[in-house]
Amino acid sequence: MKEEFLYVDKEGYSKLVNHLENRNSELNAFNFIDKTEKEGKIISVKDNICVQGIPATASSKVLSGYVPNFNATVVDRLQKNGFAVVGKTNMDEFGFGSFGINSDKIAHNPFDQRYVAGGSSSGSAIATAIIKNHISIAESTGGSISTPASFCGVVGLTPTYGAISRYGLIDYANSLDKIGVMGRNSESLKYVMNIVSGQDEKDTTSVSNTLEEVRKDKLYVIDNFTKNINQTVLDRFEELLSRFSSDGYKIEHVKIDNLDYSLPAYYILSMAEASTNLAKYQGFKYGHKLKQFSMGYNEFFTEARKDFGMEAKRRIILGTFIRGKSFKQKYYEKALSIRAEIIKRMKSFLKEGFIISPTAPILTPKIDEVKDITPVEEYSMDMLTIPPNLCGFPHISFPYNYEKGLPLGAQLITDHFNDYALLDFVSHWEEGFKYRFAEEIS
Amino acid sequence: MKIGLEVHVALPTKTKLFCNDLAYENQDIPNSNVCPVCLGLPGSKPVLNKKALEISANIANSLNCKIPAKTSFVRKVYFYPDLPKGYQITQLDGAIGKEGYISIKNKKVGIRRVQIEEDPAKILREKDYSLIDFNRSGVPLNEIVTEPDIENLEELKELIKELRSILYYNGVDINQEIKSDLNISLAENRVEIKNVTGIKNLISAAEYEIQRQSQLIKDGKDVIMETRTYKEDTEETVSSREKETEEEYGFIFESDLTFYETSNIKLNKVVIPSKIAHELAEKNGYSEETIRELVMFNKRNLYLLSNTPKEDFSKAVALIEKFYSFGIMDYSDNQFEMMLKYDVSSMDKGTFMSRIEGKEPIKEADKKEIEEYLILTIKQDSTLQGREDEKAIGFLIGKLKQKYHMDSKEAKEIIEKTIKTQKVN
Amino acid sequence: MEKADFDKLLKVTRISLGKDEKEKLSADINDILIFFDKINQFSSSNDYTFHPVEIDGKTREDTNVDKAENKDMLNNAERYRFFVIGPKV
Repeated sequence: MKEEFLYVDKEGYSKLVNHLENRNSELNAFNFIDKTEKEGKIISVKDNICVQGIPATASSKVLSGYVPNFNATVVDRLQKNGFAVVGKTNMDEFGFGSFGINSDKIAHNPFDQRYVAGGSSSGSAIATAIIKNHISIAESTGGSISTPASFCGVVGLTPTYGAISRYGLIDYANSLDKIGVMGRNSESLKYVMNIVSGQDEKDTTSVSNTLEEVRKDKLYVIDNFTKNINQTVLDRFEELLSRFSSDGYKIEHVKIDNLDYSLPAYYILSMAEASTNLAKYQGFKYGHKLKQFSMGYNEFFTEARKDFGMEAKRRIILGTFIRGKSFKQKYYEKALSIRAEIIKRMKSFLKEGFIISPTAPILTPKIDEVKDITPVEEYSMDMLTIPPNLCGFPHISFPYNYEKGLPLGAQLITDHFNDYALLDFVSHWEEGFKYRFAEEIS
Repeated sequence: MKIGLEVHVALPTKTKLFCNDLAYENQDIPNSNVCPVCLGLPGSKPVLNKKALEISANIANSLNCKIPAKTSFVRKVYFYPDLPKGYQITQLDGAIGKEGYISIKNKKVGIRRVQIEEDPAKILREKDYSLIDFNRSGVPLNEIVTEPDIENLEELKELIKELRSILYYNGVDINQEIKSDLNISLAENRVEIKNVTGIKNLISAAEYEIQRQSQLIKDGKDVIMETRTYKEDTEETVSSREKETEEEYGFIFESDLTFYETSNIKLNKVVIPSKIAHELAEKNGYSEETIRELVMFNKRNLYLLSNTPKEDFSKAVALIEKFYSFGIMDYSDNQFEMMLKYDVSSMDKGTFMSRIEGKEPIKEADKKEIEEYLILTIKQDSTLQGREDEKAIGFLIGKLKQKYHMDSKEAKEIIEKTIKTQKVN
Repeated sequence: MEKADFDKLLKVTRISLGKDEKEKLSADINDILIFFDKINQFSSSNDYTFHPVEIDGKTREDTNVDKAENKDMLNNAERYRFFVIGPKV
């Protein structure tokens, strides 16, 4: 294998930690950097994935101070294979966000700090962009790997739903959450995927299917997918397509019916599930703890739950509303049937070829530009990453151009369990395109 | 009058419903059988216990339920400190059993649903806080919901007995404190009584509530639709302050779990003990009531009586009662069969015990020898001559026990007889 | 959403909001609901997908395993003797 990882011994580890702490004060890539000396191949882990003995907060105040005493299965498998966790990466609270700004510490783009890093796995993308040969374990529910990978100029793979065990992942939406990997090239991702994928008896929804590598020479461009895209993004993307075309890929423009429904359907399902997952945060078993036990449980819970951020509160309230008895059919069940429909529609194309699009419909925005947008505006920016996420199709975002010094990412989608074909595709791309990384901290 | 019942029973598994902590053993130290799953720690995931699924399918089957091809789970969200995840994993639409019934004397009481769910933790109330023991969190339960088909207290009692008996035959620990919810409506409006612990309380809660509602009706007052709780100390139901709850906020599919096929679950032969008691009574011309008493909560009795030929049936019943009255529970099939040879009705415990151990009664030929031995003994010991007092007889009993391994009653009989004969001579 | 519904939701979810937060959130929520209502144009089939891929109904055997790794599971909670302290009920 020509894959390389940053390997450090104990001495090198302290040096690395020092460098990271310096950079972190400006970029907010990490919620926690582990100062305990260790040696191994360096990885970072998104802060919603449990690492024994290291705080896990999912960037939420309700979890501040929580130190899990068990490992997520992915972490277990990586540690057994000589990887060492340097820290927990910043994210939008519980994964609720597309820009990395729904966190106490706003994540900054390593190419230019005025810009967003993308979310929700913002810190994983930044860490991968600034640390030499880095690999970061991230997680996507609706685009949380693709989007930050695209904005920070790294490769981000979101595997098939169930391909990687979710044991130890702090839930956002159980039927949508997928642990995935960010890295600097397809080769290193493949190496890590081999270690972390595969059935886990601790997670019922982890699957035993073998991940395949079925190559396709057809690239579908979904026209109704790309209609609301920024013109510059679209122009760069067209250039990319002509390059693929000259590389021998067959480009085909098609229309997928009902695809527009995937965005609201995704948000309905994810909020309904999230509103149940967040019920466990009551302020006394783990995380930020209240001491006024005598106030009575209802008041106590209500007091403790003030610590949720705005977006979390919004999703708890909405999620509870839409699963309400009289609305369940209208929203939740309808969304379930839309998911079935979109899977069917997309699958008919994915059997024949890949689906390709830009990862984000906009150029990387400045932090100031997105701070005050409405929720619906923010949700709509996920239009390109939602369909594969809603349907559990594996997808990868890879850098393909640089616009005014900031990277642009493209997203490739394939059929369930054909995950390695994505890495194979990107490895061919990498033969002719050299990625630029923000920094080379070691 | 319409009464419906919701009972919760713990299932006979070794481990909990969604994790492999012990469910019942070694529970003395609070929070000693806990793990990330039953504590609801963020990141933990449930994995279904196969045995719990099998037992539940068998219970559903015994209650004449339809078992769907696939069963699944939902999340029921509510806030209480004993519920670690803030939601309970339960079943509803995906329930393992639906549309069944239990037969009681004159009717069938519908079973709406049998569902698998997890028990919350145990909570102790203190003045300024609560103390929580998560050992119980995640213990597998079945919630059994009847239709409101019960029409009086007698039927309620009968139904409970019948249900418990069927559960017992599915391996359920029948001594557990069963938790139930009860709904009773004498008029239009339905009153729910939540969280009644134990069967005794269930009956007296129903008694009280029936009385209360009929009094209201008699007085021309309305029965309000409400939830009430049963107070054990005063034996009455009181309106609970618990108002509209999370109930109307829907249950969603538990997507940490999936659909489970039921076709490959092994279903045991259904045993309805009351039905078997009826058949045995018919077949053997014996009192049904007595047989019911013997078999409803005793698998062994049911087994023994089912295998007894008609000519031995009364003897078998008497024998079982005898074993019971002597507190002997661990007899073997062979011992039972052997004892059927005797008329046990007047046997004392000593004789009974020595028969169980395989000692035959003394034969006439042996009696002759024993008598001769007795006469000789008395002759040789002058202090014994002419005496009929207890001390002397006691001494002789000891002798006989030692030499002939007889039990006291037999020995005493033969001694008294010998002394009598000697006197006449 | 009606104000009464919104207040009821806050109660049910144990979320308390300041006056400004409440105004902003209820406006947002109405926006989002309009956005959600789009799905009603989709003519529904009864085909539901609870998971994006098919998940086998795997179960676990009813056996107890050594739980050395489960030590100190409650070290994040406030404790009294062996119990976890919770709010008053």
